[in-house]
Amino acid sequence: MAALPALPAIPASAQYSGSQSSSSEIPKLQETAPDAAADGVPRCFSAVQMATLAKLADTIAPKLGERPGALEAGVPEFLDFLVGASGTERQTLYRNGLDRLNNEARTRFGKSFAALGPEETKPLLAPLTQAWTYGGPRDPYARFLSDARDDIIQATASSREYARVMSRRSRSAGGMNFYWLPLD
Amino acid sequence: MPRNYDVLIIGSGAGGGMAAWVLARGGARCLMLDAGPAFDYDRQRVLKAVYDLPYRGFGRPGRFPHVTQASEFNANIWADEKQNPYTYDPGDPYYWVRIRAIGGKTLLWGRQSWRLSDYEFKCREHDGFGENWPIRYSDLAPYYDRVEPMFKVSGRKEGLPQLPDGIYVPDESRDSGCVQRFAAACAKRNIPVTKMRRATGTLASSANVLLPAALESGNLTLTPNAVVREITIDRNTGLANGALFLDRRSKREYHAKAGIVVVAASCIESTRLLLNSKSRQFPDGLGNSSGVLGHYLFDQFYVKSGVLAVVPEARGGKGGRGLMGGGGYVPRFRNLDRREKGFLRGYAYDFGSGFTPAAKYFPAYGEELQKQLDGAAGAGFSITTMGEVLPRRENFVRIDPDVKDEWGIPAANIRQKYSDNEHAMARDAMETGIALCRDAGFEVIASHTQMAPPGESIHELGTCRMGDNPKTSVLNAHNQSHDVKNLFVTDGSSFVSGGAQNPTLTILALSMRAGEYILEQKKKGLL
Repeated sequence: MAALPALPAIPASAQYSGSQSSSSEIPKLQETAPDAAADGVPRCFSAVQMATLAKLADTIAPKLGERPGALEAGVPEFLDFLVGASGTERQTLYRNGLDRLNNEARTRFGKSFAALGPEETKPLLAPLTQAWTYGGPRDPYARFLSDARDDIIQATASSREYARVMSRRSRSAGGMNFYWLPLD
Repeated sequence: MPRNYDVLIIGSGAGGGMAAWVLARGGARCLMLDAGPAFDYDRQRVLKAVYDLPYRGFGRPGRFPHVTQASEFNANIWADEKQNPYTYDPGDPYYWVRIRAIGGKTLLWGRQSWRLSDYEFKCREHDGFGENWPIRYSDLAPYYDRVEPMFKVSGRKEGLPQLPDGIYVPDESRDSGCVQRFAAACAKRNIPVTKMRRATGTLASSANVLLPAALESGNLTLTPNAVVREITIDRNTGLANGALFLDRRSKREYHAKAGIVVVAASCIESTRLLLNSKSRQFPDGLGNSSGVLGHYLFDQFYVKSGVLAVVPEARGGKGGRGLMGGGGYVPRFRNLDRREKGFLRGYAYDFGSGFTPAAKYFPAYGEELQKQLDGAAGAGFSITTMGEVLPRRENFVRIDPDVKDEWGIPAANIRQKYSDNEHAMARDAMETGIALCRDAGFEVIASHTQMAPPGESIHELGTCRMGDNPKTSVLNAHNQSHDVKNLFVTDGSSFVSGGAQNPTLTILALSMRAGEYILEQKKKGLL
């Protein structure tokens, strides 16, 4: 039995054409993403953990000249969201790591990690000066610092603030790419 | 009125696309089914900045635990693991990376286009391990000759027996200074280096190189969103007569009928489909009288950036285009003329230069880290190892009867472990890579031998292998089932061994050859 000829699902006359003029008459509205319009609501870390994370982020990725740092990039607030959206393993790693940092600071210096001076943070962040190994450190505290460092650096570089300043220097700083829309 | 086709093609990637290109243009009325949608590049892609993505480029946590290639930009392309589950032993994770869409994985492939040689086709003759293919290099060479121009493969001819030359868009570009230094270091050890051999041009996919011409013939009906559940057979003849499939969205069931069935759904999916196609004649899966179907799963192991170096003269932004940039390929150089290094077969290197090494490689933070990153900006040189994995019976795909996909089709259970042979190869690759970088005057800043988990290279091969002996193989020398003469499998599952070369070019050549064989047999009335 011969197959029926295949027909296009939509008549040719009604098919999409990039040159159709009707859609171009509808103005493209300027949009603002939520994180450029409002502040995120913290949902993962406690106030003390957030203060510790902010200090850690600022120490790892400080503002250097015109290059925005993690605080300008809103990294602590973003990581609160990202870690909160992650599985329990990552949440536990971060919470325990932040608590450990703060406890170590109190034990060694009698104050919170957030209140430490630059020299005082050094012994607590010593694992970050260890040579790279594949897969990262096994010790949970060193692992936390290593993961947090990577996350803080990436979140800083992928921020709106970083792109705004650094795209004046490099075309790639804005991180532009094709985004694939969800499929039906 | 029932509709019958000459050929049903399942899958639209390299294997299916090439089968359609040959068969439809050769006059066979074909129906192609693919489980996924057809992408519209004009309407489904929008340019966005990373900071405008909901997760700033990190991606939704946990969405793709096994797809390291997925980014937040392309996340909607990859097969969803919840809709399409598979299982493995938790101690031996398998990373199954899939695209379910018209064009298959050729939508995002790396375009590396290397020929296999008789070191692969006749591997058993060479070192006594495994099985030979039922074909020699000379059988496939004429098809490689035709596929390369279609995909505009660029490259440089070298005259190497382990990496046969092809028909290339000549790559006469000048190597950067660091690439020349690396090549000179290789030459001192009699290690060959060549340019990348890559498909060029826009997309270079089945979706734009193969399918449009097949459709233009008027003989191809292309049906996306068709999730094939089972290949059906005629009880009287024992021949395949079509396939049952479900509409991806509505789950309505259909029966596609055809005189010949070509399966090219990708290595593991094809084997899963055959194993799920059980009948009285084939209680262990269609075409599985040998019991070999599902066995001998292999791929190529990857050690990504196994050696990472910095070119000292390029530090502080002094690299420039003359010194830094570009890369190349080192084909297999071990165990060619003599046995060496205590392992079988060999590995290849893919090397590149001119990037800034990631922050994780520097033991610092804060201003000091930035200083080190600025110092190494554009000065990076890295080597990734791709090693041959020995096909072993104990590495397999089977059906997990307890897990079903969204369409109620039993899922694949996958088991693959790398052996001591692969681990020994990875160690040698790292040690040799370090020595080559140092000979070239580079500073090695990191090295490792950790292989990516099996499957992660997206070069899964075997499980429905070719062979002359129906007792030890599933397909004959023309990708035709030994058991069911109107059933063909033309994807990576048909490989007997894989070398270290990316497999897509060989899949295309095999499928072209099988397609022409089908036309020939039909003409003679034998199919």
